[in-house]
Amino acid sequence: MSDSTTENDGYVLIVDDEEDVRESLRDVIELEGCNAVLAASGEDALEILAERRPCLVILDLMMPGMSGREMLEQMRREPTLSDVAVVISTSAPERAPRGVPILPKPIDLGALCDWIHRSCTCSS
Amino acid sequence: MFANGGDAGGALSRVDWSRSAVGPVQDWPQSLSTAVSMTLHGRAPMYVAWGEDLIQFYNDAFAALMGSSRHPAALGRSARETFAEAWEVMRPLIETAMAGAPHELRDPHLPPLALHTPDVADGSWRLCSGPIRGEAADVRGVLVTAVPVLARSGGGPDEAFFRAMFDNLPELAWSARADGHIDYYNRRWYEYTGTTPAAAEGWGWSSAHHPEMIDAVLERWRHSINTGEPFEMEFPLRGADGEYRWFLTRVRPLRDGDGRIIRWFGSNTNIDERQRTEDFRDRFLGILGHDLRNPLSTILTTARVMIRRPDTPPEAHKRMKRIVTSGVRMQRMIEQLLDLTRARLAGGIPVTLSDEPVPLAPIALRIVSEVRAANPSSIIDLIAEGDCAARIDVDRFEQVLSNLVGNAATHGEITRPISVTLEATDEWTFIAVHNFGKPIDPSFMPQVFNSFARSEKPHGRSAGLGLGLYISERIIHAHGGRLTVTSAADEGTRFTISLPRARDE
Repeated sequence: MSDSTTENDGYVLIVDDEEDVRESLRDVIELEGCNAVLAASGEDALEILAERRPCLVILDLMMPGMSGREMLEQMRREPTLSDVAVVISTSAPERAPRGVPILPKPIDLGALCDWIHRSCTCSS
Repeated sequence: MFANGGDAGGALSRVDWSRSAVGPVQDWPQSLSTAVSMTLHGRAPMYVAWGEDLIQFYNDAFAALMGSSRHPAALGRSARETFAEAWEVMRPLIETAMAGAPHELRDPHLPPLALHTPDVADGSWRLCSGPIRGEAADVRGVLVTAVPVLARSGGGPDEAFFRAMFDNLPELAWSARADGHIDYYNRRWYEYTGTTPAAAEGWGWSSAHHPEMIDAVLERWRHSINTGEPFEMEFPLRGADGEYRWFLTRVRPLRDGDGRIIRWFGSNTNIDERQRTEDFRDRFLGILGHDLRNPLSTILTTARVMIRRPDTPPEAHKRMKRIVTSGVRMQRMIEQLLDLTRARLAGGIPVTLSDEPVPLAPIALRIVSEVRAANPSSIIDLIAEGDCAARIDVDRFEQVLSNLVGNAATHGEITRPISVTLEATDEWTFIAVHNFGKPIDPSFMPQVFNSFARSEKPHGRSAGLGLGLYISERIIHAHGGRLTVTSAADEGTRFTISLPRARDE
């Protein structure tokens, strides 16, 4: 597909308020050969998204300030971001919005790698 | 005439009678003067309603029965006005006497008058009315006398008995008129709230409510009064010590023969301990679910990345694997504790059944493959006969089957195969997991599905918390099915899941 909205900068955006979670996910993504960009809040993530379009967003739900759910709704309203692949990584899967893939914490590494391979051309 | 007539006499003497329907006192007929004088100077509770307008006179003893919402405003006023909202109850008493015949009102028709007065605390009253005739023998007014209802000797329990019973209930209890005006509270209510009958009567109870809840309570209560629907709600009530505690309040209507509501009966049950337990449960589930899983996720992810990275030295691998194995065990324990808490404290393990029957053989194959991979030396046979499908929660069903097959691999005799058998009848689908291993101790059988039950500590490290079978049984129970077990030395051990057969509707 050559449509400009589907082009991406070949990076995975990690949105989680816990630094250790962000850093451990970065390790996985870099091990798979992709670049990771980290955001500690939904607000920061939206700023990054406005600049560059990722191939995949790994999104925590429960964060202070803007929740993952709110951030997802904003992304869905933005035409250039509405089709970006998003997977929700949460320790409370029962509270996740319907219709979005979920990676429950503790994260299954195999399932995460599947998502990276499926969504990103950067992965080895 | 009003002199020595007590407070009521004093109040009557201050009325400007020339502007009332009965006219100035000097023009009153002899029959009215006599009736009013008799009433004011009598000791028994007495009441007079005079003329077409039913202008009211009564003595101090009767004033106590009128309640603070009516007395003293009722003196010199029309009975129709004073009892407007309860007129249907009072009318026969007055109008029958005005028509020339005596009449009586007794419980449960009495309640339009205040029930909770110090004088009647140990009994209740019967109202007797009769005509007052004028000089031409025509009926000009009505005399009402209140007679205490005395305890009967023998027979059923009397009113005093019931009042004593209500006063000794551990719950707060009360009763309201059809319009919601509360005119009776039991003793516990006064003890708990520290209020007085005068302050609490009618709608005065609202002062015991939390300011943030009162609007919602009033809205629901008014809805019940308007529709006749029973009322049920949980809210805090302030105690005499100033502390709010949670109560479950239930109110039911009492209807007459025509289906009209004549009373409301309410009770407030203290559920504060329960509320605290629920708050604790929610906090506990939050800690388990969120606060523990997050750091565990970081531990496991980091260790797994280290195992995968080509630059990790080989001797670090087995140590990283140890971290992962322990972390996974911890993860399983967290899941089990979450399930236990849901099953015990949150009304059961939540199960979302599929809309359509799901074929069970592919699920069984998946689970068997996983257990084979984790236990390479075990032999596990899978036998599926017939069309085995059921409406299930797939994740939860997998959890049960994984637990049963995993247990069979742990406890089964290594040289003999474990079998997983699927069978269907018209009404049930059966999934049986069988192993030849040391049988379950017969004395332990009744506890197999209890929480924290374990027949013996397995050698080496323990796999979990001894909650697996308890949780599995609860999950199958939530499916409307059964989990059973048989075990004997020569037959081995067989766990059987029975699920109601999916039927065409």
